[in-house]
Formats: sequence, C-alpha cells, structure tokens
Amino acid sequence: MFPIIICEDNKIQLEQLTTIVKNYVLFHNEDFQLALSASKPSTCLEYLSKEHPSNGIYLLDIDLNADMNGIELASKIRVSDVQAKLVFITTHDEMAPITLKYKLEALGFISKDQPIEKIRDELIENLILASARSIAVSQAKQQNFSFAISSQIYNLPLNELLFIEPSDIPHRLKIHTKTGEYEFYGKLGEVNKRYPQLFRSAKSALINVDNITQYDGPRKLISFENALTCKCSITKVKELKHRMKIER
Amino acid sequence: MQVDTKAYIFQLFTDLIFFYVFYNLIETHKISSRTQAINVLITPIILCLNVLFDFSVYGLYIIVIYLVIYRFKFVLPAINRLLFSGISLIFASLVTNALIVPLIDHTIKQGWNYILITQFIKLCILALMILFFKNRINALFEHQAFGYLVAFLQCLMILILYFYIQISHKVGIFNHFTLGTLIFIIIEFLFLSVLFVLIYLRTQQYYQDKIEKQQLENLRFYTQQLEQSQIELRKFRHDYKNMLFSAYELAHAGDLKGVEDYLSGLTNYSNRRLTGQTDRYQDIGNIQELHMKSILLNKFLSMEQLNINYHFECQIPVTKFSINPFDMVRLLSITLDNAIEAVQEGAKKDIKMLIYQGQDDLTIRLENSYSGKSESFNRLRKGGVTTKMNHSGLGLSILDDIRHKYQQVFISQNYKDSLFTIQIIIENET
Repeated sequence: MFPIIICEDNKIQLEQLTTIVKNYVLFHNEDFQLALSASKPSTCLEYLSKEHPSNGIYLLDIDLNADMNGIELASKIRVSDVQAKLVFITTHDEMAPITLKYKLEALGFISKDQPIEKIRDELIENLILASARSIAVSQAKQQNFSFAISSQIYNLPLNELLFIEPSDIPHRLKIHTKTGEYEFYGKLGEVNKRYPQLFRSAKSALINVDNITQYDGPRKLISFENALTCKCSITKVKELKHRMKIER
Repeated sequence: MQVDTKAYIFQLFTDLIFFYVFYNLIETHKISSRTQAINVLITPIILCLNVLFDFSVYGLYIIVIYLVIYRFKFVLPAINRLLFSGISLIFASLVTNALIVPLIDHTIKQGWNYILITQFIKLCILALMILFFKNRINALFEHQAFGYLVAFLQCLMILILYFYIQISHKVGIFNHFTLGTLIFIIIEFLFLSVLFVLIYLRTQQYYQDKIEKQQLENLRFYTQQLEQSQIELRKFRHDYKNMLFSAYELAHAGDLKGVEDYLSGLTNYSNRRLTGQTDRYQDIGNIQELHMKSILLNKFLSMEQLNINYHFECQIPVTKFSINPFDMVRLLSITLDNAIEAVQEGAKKDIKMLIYQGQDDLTIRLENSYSGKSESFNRLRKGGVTTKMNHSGLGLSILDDIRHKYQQVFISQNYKDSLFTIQIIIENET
C-alpha cells in the first residue's frame, strides 16, 4: 500500500490534483490510498510526525507561500520516509532540475504550464512509476553496493565495482568503479563481511573478481579495465585462480 | 687546531652526503633512479674539488644537481629547496662548532672521535630541521608570489655567511669565536626575516587589493544583470496590465473562447519574457557568502564570454561553510577552470552546477560535457584533473591539498556517457 500525500498552496490547484488522485485511486485502490491533501507544509509535517508513513508518494509544489518551500519540505520528508517517492508539480520558471534529481532523488516533475488533461496523464504515469520503483528497490537491494558519505547514501550497481583499497587519508577507503571513484569512511574487513561476494586479494585490496581483465602471475598484479591495477598477496593466489575459474 | 687529514676528508665526504640526502628529503618532485645514479656518480668529483678548494664548491654542486634533475627548465621552488639545503648544512655546522669547540683542547691534534661526534650532532640537527620545517618550507617555496623573494634572501644569506666564514678564517678567530659566530648568524637571520615579513605584508596587501578590485568588478557585473531583469520585469508588468484589461473586456462581452485563447497567449508570452537570463541569476542570490559568490560570478562571466551553456542551481541559502573561504575559492576556481577547459574541446559546451546546503553537509556538484576518450579520462584521474601539458597535475594537487587539509571534505569523480562529474561534499563542522 502506497499512501499519497499532496501539498499545494493554491486551493483551486489542490482541488484539481486531489480530484485526479481520488479518481485514480478509486480504480486502483489496492495499491494506493490518498492519505492527505494539505495546503500548508506544516500540516504535512504534522502528519509525518504522527503517522510515520513509509513508501509514500508525495506530490509537492515548490513555491508554497509559507516559511518553507517545497524543496526544504521534501528534504524533511526524506528524513522521515527514506523510501519516499517525490513528484514535484511546479511552474516552469521555478524548476531546479539538478537539485530535484540528485539531492532529493525526485521521481519526476510535472509542469503546471500545460492543459489539465496533460497534467493528469503525467501524474498517473508518475504514480505507476512510483509503485514499480518501490517494488524494484526491494528486489535490487542485493545487487547494489551501498555506502555513506556524510549523511548521503550512495548505491552503486555491484557489477560496476572494480575494487576497494585504503585511501591516502587514514581510515578512509577508496572505491574504484568502471566510471569513477569515491571515498568513504570504513574498514575493508567490515565491508568484506557485508559483501562476501567480493574477494580480499591482499591486505589492502578488496576486489570484484567478475571485473578482472587480466592476471599477471609473475608480478602478482591484477588488472581491471581503465588501466587500474592492484596487488595479489602470495597466500591468496590459489584462491584467486580458483575463483576466476568458477567465474569464467 | 689541527685535525687528522683522513678524518677531515671523511667529514667533507659525509657533509656532501648529508647535503644530498637532505635535499632529497625535502624535494617533492619525483627523481628517477637514473638521475639519482648520475648524481651519486658526480659526488666523488665534487669531493675532490672540495678537498682542493673550500666549501664554495657547493655552489657548483647545487648547479650540477639542478641541471641533472631539471635540465634547462626554470623551477623556482627547486632552486629554493637547493639553497635551503645549503643554508641548513652551514647552519648545522656552525651550531655544532659552537657546541663542541669550547669543550676541546686546541693544542692537540684532533682525531676520528672528534669528527664522528661532530658529524653525529650535525646529523641530529639536520634531522630535526627536516622534521619541523619540511612541510612549512615547501609550502612557502610553492607560493608563487614569494618564490623570487625567498630565493633572493637565501642567496643573500649564503653570501653573507660565506664571506663571514672566509674572513674569520683569514683573521684566525673562527675556532675561538664560535659563540660570536652563532650570535652573528642569529642576528643576520632575524634581520632577513624582518625584511621578508615586511615585503610579505606589502605583497599580501597588493594581492588583497587585487582581489577586492576583482570582487567589485564581479558585483558590478551582477548588478548590471539584475538591473537588466528589473527592466524586463517592468516592461512585462506594463504589458500584462494591458492584457488583463483586454481579457476582462472579452469576458465582459461574453466571448469565452476568446478569453481562453487570450489567456493561453498570455501564458506563452510570460514564459518567453521572464525566463532566459533572469533565471540564470536567480539562484546566485542564495549564495550569501561573499567570497564564494564573487568567484562564481567571475566564472559565470567567463563562461558567458566563451559561449558555454551553463546552468546553476542553489535553492537553499549558503551562509557559511566549514572550510576557510579562501580554500573554497581555490576549490571552486580550479574545478570550474577544469570544466571550462574540458568543454572547449567538444562541440557541445554544457556545464551544470549544483550547490546544495543540506542539514549535515554542503554538496557541490559540477557536470561538464567532455568529448575525450575514457582513456584520457583515466590519465586525468591519475595525473591530475588537468590536461594542460605545462601545468601537469596542478589542479589535482590543489584538490589533494584541500582533501588532506580538511577531514570533512570528500571528493568523488565520475565519467560516463561523455559527461564528467565531480562531486564535493563538505560536512558541517560538529
């Protein structure tokens, strides 16, 4: 069950959105439920602290004519409902696409500057997408490598990960992926415990055996794409070869 | 005072080694093993010269080492490091003399014990200097504005010391007057330091003025843009009143279809009029820290001049951050410069920037199109975030410098589908 929460300061528009959602829920009531339609962000926050909805779908305006705008409200929602699906409904000139995409992981944004039929179609599309995402997330959890930098959580597909090594800054680890690199606080041993599919090829390396491009026996050097390499300790060579054979 | 000849030559030899090792330890440039070998092979020749002449041979040694390592490239920090090694050795020798000479009997010939103890004390002093000064002195040498000044002062110091030692040897007071010598050096050092501080302050002032002037220029540009959008807005308000009036008239006449057409026309009109350049500067108002605002305005101006499509977002006000504002300026200016440089090469010139003040941290995300191959991206990753040949790795060294300086700074990079992304997270101080 996905609760739907709407926050829009303009009464007429709030009414319109609520009607669209109500009509839609009427025919899909097994999946969705209209939980709240509010004109003030404070009402919305009160609801959050009282009911603690999870997996909610939130339809928000950005300019709320209140002490808080839709983006701040959304970041508060994220804290209380981690899996929240955010959809912004806003006018063209308030758009902040990168903020919405990367910082709030918004599912989508719908422009108000278009006919109501179009808004309805986009809204319904987003609702369907939201439920599909929520289901996909629970299945994909195992396939992701997740870590936190400061308060931000990153999820990288495990098959893109090449290897992890200690950073030049103490207590930090550096992740090399097919497309980039990231740093976070952690210990190789603990990471290995969480992800036993990774292989500890040396004291200072935790590798993804699937992505090895070449192993140089005499030099004990494991190569990955992008010309990245790391060491394999003598005691681990046998296990490495064994693991590589299974993969191939 | 007389010293055993073999022991004396041993002393000269170890001094040379001390010098070379000291220089190697403060050098930040990677020296290849071949160069290293050439330098070691040169040492015996220098030793012979040193035995025949006096310690002015070190001047030659410095020149030779420099030429072997850097050929004919001009690298000021390296010159400074070599000069500093020389001064350190002289300083260590003089301090050792001051410590040891009063304790020994001048009438008898000194042997190996004396030399070994001397060299040991010298080694300790040099080691302490490395331990305490290495990073500080290198930071000073890398400082572009003061490189020449420091080199000049160091040369002056060496010259004065050289002539002082020569004269005191000639007069014959060198071995008796060691404490005096030490005091002389300290006074000279203080004198040069005061000179340095004076010039340093003046230069600092000069740069401060320059920065302020630049900031003023940036703000002037910003004001111009704001005025421009203010004028647009006024024009729009004028038109829009007229339009509402017409719509009212149509409604009054009962022409509903006419009103609808009219209103959709109005929407189009307002979208056209009010977006565009007014949008670009909307979010910069949320950057309330002046240094940061100024550097951003500066870079946006150059992007505009270079016809780069840029997009900037900052939705939540940034008032302060947990790193020094000047480091923030360095950080932004190097990442933006790199992005500007990277987009020049491609047909698409897109830069997108996001600054987001969260509850626990500040995120700076910069995306730019980059048409180079991913191989060259890896070279970038390894060698530094710049492709300028004569500039190798400076960008990276600045970012690395900041990463090491602040525990709370995290930098990630990504290159995918011709899009290079760098993300910098700065945790708020707790």
